[in-house]
Amino acid sequence: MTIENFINNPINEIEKIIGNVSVNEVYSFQEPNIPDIFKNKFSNEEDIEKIPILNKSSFKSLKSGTLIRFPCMIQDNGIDSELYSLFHLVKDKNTNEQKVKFFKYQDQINNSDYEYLDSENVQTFRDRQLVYCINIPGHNSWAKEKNNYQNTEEEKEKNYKTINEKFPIKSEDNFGAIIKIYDIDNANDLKLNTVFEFIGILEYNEQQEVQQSFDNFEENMLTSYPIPHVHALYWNKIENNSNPTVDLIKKQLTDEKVIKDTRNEIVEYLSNRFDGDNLIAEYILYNLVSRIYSRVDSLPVGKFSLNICNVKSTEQSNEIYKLIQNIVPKSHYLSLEHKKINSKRLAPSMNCIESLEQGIGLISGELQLTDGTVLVVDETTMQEGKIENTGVMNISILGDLFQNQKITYDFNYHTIEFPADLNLIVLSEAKSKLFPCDCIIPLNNLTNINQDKNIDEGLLNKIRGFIDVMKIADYEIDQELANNISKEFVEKRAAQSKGKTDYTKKILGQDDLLYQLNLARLHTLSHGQTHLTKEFWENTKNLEEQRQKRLDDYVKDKAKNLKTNKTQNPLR
Amino acid sequence: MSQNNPFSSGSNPNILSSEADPNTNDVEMVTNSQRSVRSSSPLIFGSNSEMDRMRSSPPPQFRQSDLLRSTLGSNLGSGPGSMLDSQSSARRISSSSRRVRGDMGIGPYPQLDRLLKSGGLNSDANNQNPTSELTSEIVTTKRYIWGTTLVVAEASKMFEDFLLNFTMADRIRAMREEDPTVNIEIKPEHEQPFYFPRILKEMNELKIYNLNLNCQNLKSYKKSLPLYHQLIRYPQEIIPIMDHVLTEKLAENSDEYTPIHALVRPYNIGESINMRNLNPSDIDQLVTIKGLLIRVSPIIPDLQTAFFCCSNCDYSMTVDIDRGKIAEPVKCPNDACRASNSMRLIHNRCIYSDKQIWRLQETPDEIPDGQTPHSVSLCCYEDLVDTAKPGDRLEITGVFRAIPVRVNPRQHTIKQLFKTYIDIVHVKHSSSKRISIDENLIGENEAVVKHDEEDNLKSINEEEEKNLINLSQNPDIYERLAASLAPSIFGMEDVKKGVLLQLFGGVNRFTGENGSPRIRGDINVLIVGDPGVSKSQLLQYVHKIAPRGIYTSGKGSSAVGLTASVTRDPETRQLVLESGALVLSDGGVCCIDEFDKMSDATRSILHEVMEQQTVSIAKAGIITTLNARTSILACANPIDSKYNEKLTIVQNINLPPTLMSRFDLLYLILDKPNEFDDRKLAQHIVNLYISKNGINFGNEIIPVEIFSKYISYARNHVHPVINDEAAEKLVKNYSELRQSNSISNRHGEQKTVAATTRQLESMIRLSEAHARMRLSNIVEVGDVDEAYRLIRTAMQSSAIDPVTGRIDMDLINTGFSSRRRSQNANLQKQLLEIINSIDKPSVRLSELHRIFNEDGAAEAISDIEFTRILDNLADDGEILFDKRSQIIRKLIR
Repeated sequence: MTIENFINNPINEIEKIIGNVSVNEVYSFQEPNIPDIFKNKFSNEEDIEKIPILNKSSFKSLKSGTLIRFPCMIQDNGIDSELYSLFHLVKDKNTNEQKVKFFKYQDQINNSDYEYLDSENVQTFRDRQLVYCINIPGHNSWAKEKNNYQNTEEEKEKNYKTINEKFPIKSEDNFGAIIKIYDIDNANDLKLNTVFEFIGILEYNEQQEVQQSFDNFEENMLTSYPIPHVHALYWNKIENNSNPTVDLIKKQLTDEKVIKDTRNEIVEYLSNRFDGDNLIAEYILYNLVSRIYSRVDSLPVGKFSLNICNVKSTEQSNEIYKLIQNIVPKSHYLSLEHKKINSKRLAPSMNCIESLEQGIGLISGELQLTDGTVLVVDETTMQEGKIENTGVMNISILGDLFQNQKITYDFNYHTIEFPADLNLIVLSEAKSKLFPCDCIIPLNNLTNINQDKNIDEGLLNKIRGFIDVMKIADYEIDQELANNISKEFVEKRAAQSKGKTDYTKKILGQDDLLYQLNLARLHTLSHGQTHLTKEFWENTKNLEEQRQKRLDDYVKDKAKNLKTNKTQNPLR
Repeated sequence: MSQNNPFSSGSNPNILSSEADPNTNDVEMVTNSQRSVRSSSPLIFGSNSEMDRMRSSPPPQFRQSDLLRSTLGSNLGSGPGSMLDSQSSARRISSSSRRVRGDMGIGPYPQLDRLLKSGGLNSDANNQNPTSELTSEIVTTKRYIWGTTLVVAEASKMFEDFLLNFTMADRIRAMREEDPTVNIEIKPEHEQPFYFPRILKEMNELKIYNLNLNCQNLKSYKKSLPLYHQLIRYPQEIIPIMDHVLTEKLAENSDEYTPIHALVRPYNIGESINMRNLNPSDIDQLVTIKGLLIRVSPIIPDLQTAFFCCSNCDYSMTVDIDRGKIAEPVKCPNDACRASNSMRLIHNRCIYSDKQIWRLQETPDEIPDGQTPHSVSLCCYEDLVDTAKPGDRLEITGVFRAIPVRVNPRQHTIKQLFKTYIDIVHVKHSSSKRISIDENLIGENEAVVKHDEEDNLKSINEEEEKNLINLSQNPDIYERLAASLAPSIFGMEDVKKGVLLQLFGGVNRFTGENGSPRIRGDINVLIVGDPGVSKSQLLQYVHKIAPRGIYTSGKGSSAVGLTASVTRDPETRQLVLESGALVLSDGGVCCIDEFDKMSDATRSILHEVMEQQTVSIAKAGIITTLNARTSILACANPIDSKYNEKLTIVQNINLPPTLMSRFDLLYLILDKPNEFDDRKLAQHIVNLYISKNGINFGNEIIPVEIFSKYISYARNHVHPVINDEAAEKLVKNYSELRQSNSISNRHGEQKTVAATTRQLESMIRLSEAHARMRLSNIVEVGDVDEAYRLIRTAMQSSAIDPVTGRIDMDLINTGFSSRRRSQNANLQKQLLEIINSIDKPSVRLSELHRIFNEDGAAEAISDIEFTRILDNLADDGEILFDKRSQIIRKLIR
C-alpha cells in the first residue's frame, strides 16, 4: 500500500479496500469512506507534492487512471447531474468468471480484461454532480507550482480539444476538465468562479466522438466532448495562488523589523520603477492589498479602484502591466479595442440551445475571473469609432463592475448578478470618465517606466509574499479612535456648511468618510499592521492631501495647455 | 412519499414472472431477464434490428387509430379489435385498453391487461372469464401487481367511489382540519358530487376526454387516501387503472358508438420538488417541479403502428408497437407466398403519435448562491405537445425516469451511464396570479389555442361572476383596488390608481379594413422620482401580476433586444427572428426600469410602439411589422439623480417632450424628509419584517387571486361606451387643460408639458378604464372627472404656482385643492396689509407670525405655509425676506 501505488493505480487500491462483494450483498452494502482513507494517506505535505498536477503540459504524459491534483477555477456548474450504478456485473476475461465490480470513481472498463454483462440484478443507482473546471485564468507564470511528478511515460498527443468559448482568456495553457463530484452534500461550497484543488482519479477516453444533438436522450453534450474527466475524491479551497517558495517567505514575516524593512523595500522598488515617485508607489500598493471584506446592502465595503491617469501611450501602460504581473499571482490586462468590444460579451452568458457553434453551457467572458485577480483596464487602447450594441452593453457591464463589484450574467430569459472581487486599475490619458474610480492619481509628466533589468528573485518573492499575507489579514479599529474620527468628520462638515459656501466644492459626505476609512485601512495593512493608530490616520490624511494637490495641478496644467493650444491656432 | 431506497429492497416493479409467448402479438408475458430498466423506457436502445432503432414508445390512446385500423382492413392478428364482445361498451374499452399512454412507459402488465380486457375489474375477477384467448389460469380474488402493494381491484373500486361521491365539502373539511384558520363556508352546492354527473356531461359535450385530477381532492376524500399514496409511488400502474375506470363510466353513460379513451391527468400532488433534489429514490414516482421553459424541440413522430408490405406478393400487414419494440415479421404471412425476409416497411402508411422534448430550467429565485441554473429534460406526448412556449413559467407533474444512455459500439471501452428525464402528465402555467390573455386582442385572422389546465372546465363560473359583480357594486371599490395593488408599498395612492387603470386598460377598437388597424386602448405610465421611493418595487409587482409581463432595465436593453433580433436557427440553419421584450409582452405590460438611462436609439423604438403598437423590422432580408400591443410602465430618475427644484419639469426629466407626451400619465415622486411621514413609513416597513406568515394588511385588501380574476373578467366582458354627458364633459375638461398650460415663465420658455390631443385620447382611455373597473358598460361623468383629476395631478398642472413658475410639491403631497390656493392669495393680501401697517422698517419672522395669527387669519397657518406666503410676497417685490436672519423688511416704494 505504498504511496506510489496509490498514485499510479488508485482504482486497484480502492478495489482492495472494498474487497469482494457477492451479488446478494449488493443491496445491503455499506460503503467505506474512501475519501477519508485517501485523505489520511496523503496527510503530510511531502506526500501531497508527489501527486502530479494536472495541466495542459502534464496531461500529455499522464495515464488514464492516475491520481492527480487539479488546481482550477469552477467555470460552469450548471451541468445536469448524472445517474450511475454502484455495481456492475462483469466477466473477467482472464479467469472467465463473473464478478461484481465496484464502479464508483470510474466509468470505463478495460475491454481487454473485462466483458460487460447484463447488470440488472445489481443495479444500485446513485447520482453525482458534474462541474466543469478550467485552469486559473490570469495565473502568472511565476506563481504556478512546478510539477514534481516523475513520469516514465513518454508524451503522447492525446485526442483533446479545447472548447474556446469556455475560457475567459486566450492562453496557451488553457485546459479544462469535467469533475465528477460524488459527495453531493458538501458540494454547496462549489460556487462559480472559486478556486479549488481537486484530488481525484483522471480518466479520459481516446476515441471519443462528439454527439451533435440535443433532442435525443444521448449523453450530455459536454460529457461527450473529448475532454478529460476527473473523479473527485476530495477537494480543498485555495485562498492564495502563489507557489510554494513564496509560501515559505510568508511564514518568515513575523518579526516587526522584518515587516518594516520589507515594506520599505517594496515602496522603494515600486517607486524606482516610476522614476522615484513615492506617491504612486503607495497608492499602487494600496490597491494591490485591497479586497472586499463585506457587502452591506449591496454596497461593497473595501473596494478601492485606482485610476492612473496621464499615461502617455499604450507602451507605457504595457510597461505598467508588466510590472504588476511580476508581483501579483493573478492578473489580467483588458484592452478596449473597438473590434473586440463590439463583438464579444465581456460577461458570461448561457444559450438555451447548446451546439458546437453557439457554445455549450455557460459561455465564458473576459470578466469571468477569480476573486483577487488584478484587472488592469487600458483606456489608451480605445480609439475613435462607433460602439455598437454589444459594445454598449460591455461598457455598462464594466461600469457596474466598477461601481458595485457585480457582474451580470445573461441567461436568455433572465439575468443573474454575481458578486466579484477584483482589484481594479484603470490606465488612462486623462481622468477616466467611463469608469468612475475611487481614487485618481496622475503620473508625473516626466516619468519613464523603468523595467527591472536584473530581476532579483529574492526581493520579488518577498514582495509577493508580503502582498499575499496582508491581503487576507484582519483589521481592527478600536472604539476610541473610531469616535474621534467621527467627531472630526462632523466638525468638518459643520465648518464647511457655515463657512462661505463655495458651490463648486462639495460638502463632505457619507462617501468621503467611507473612502477615508478605507484608505486608512489599506495604509495600515500596507505597513503590515492590523490596528489603526492615530499616526496612520494622520499619515493617510497627508497622503490624500498630496494626491489631491497633484490632481489639481494636473487638471490646471491640462486646462492651460488647452488654452495655449487655442491661442496658438486662432484660426481653428 | 417517504421511501427507503426502493432499489435496495430488491423490488423492481417492472418485473413479472410469467412465461413469454413470442409469436402472437397478443398480450405477451415476459421473463425476468428480458424486462429491465432498459426496456421499460419509451425509447429503446439496442442493436438488434432495424425496428429497435425506431425508438418508439408504447402506443398511447389514439382514438382515431381504431377507425384507421379497421379501414386498413388487414389481418390484425389477434388484435383486440377482433374480439367482438356482445357489450358495446366493453368493445370500446377493450379495443383501446391495450394501448397505453405514452407517458406511462411500457404498457400495463399482462395481468392488468388481461383484467382490463376481460372487463373483470369492477366485479370479482372470478366471475368473468369470457374470451377464449386467455389461458385458463387460476384467478384469485386478490391480485397484486408484482413488487407493489397494489391490489388492482381495490384501487379501481376506490377510484370509482371517489369519482361518484367526492364533494367539495370533503375538500373544505380537510382544509379546515389542516389549518383551523381557514374559514370557507360549506354551502349547499358544495355537497353535490363534484365529478359526476357534471364532468360526464361536459366531457361528452365537448368531446374532450381529459380529466385534470386535483390530487388534493383525492387526498381529502377519506376513503381514497391510500389511492393517493399509491398514485405517487406507482403512477405507472395507477394511472392506467384510473383511465380505465373513467372510460368505463363515460362509456356507460354516453350514447355514441365511437370508441373513447379517457385520460386522467393528476396534478397538485403536494409540494413541488426543487430540481436539484431529484435523486435516484424518486425514479418512477410522480413528482412536481416548477421552472422556466427554455427550449422546445420540434414535434417528433413516434411510431405506433408499422405497416409492412411484402415485396414479393404485395401482401400488407400492420404491426403494433409492443413494449417499445415492433416485431418485424420474418416470414410473409400470406400462405401463397411464404417468402422470408421480404417484408418492407412503408413509412407513409405507418401511424405515428406526437412527441416533443422540452427543457425546463430552474426559476431564478430558486437558484442557490453562486450557482448557475440547472435544467431537466421533459418528454411530452399527444395533447400536451405545443401547449407551452419557451419563456413560460410552468409547474409540471410527471413521472421521473431513468434510461440508459446509448452505448457506442465503436468505442473500445464501455460506459454505463443513465440519463434522467420526466414524462409529463400535466402542465400548469404557473401562478394563477397572472391574468389570462385578453380576448379583445385577438384579431380576426388569429387564433389562440386554449389549453385546459385545471379542474374547472370553465375559468370563471357563475358563482364567482356574481361575487365579482357584487364586489364592483361597492362604492369604494376604486380605493380598495388601488390599495390592494402592491400593498407592501406605502403611500403613492395616485400612482397606484394610475397603474390600476393601466391594468384595466381602455377599449381596443378595430376600425376594420383599411388604414390603421387599431385604435389602441393601452395606457402608458411614466413614473419619475428620487431614488429610494420604491418605484422599482412597484414595477416588480406589476410585472408579477400582469399577463405576459416583461421586465427590462433601460441600461441593459438595446434597440434590438427590445424589438426583435435576427439569429440563425441551429437546426434549420435559416435566419429567424427572435422576439425581443416588447414583442414578447404583446397583450401585457412591459415594465421598463431606468428609463432615462436608455440610449436614444432604444428609446426611438418606443415612439412607434407606444403610438402604433407595432414594431417595424427591416434587417437581414426580413422586412416585416410585428404586433406589440403592450402597455408600457416606465420608471426614471431625474437628471442629477435627485429632483432639482430649481429646474422645470421638462429639464429635470431628461426625455424629449415628444416621448413624454406619449405617456398618458406622468408621475413625479419626491423624497422629502418629513418626520411624520417618515415615521409612518418606517413603522410600516418594520412591520413587514416582523410578521411571518402572510401580512394581513387589513380587511380592505382584496387578495391577489380575486384581484386578477376581477381584472380578467373586466377585460373580457366589459366594454364601456361613452354616453353624451360624459362626452361633453370630456370636451370641456380638455379645453381647460389646454388653457392652463399656456403659462410660461419670464423668459418665455415653456415650463411644462403642453396638452395635446394625445391627452384627450388619454382621458378617454382612462375614463373607459375607470368604467371598466366598475364593471359598468357606460362611461359616465364621474369616470371622466376621475380621469381628468388623474391627468392633472400627473401633469403637475395643479402644482405649478403661476406666480413663481416653480413646482411646489407640498401642494401635491398635502392635497391642496384650488380652493386652498385661492385662499392663499387672500392670505397674502392680508399679510401684506399687516406688514405695511407695522411702523418699524423691519420685523422678525416669529413676531410677524404671532401678529398674523392673532389678528388676521381665520385659521392658524403653519410655519411652512407662512414662509411660503412670505416667499411669494418677496418674489412679487413687495418685501425683502432674509431667511437666514429671519427678518422681514419693507420695501419703500
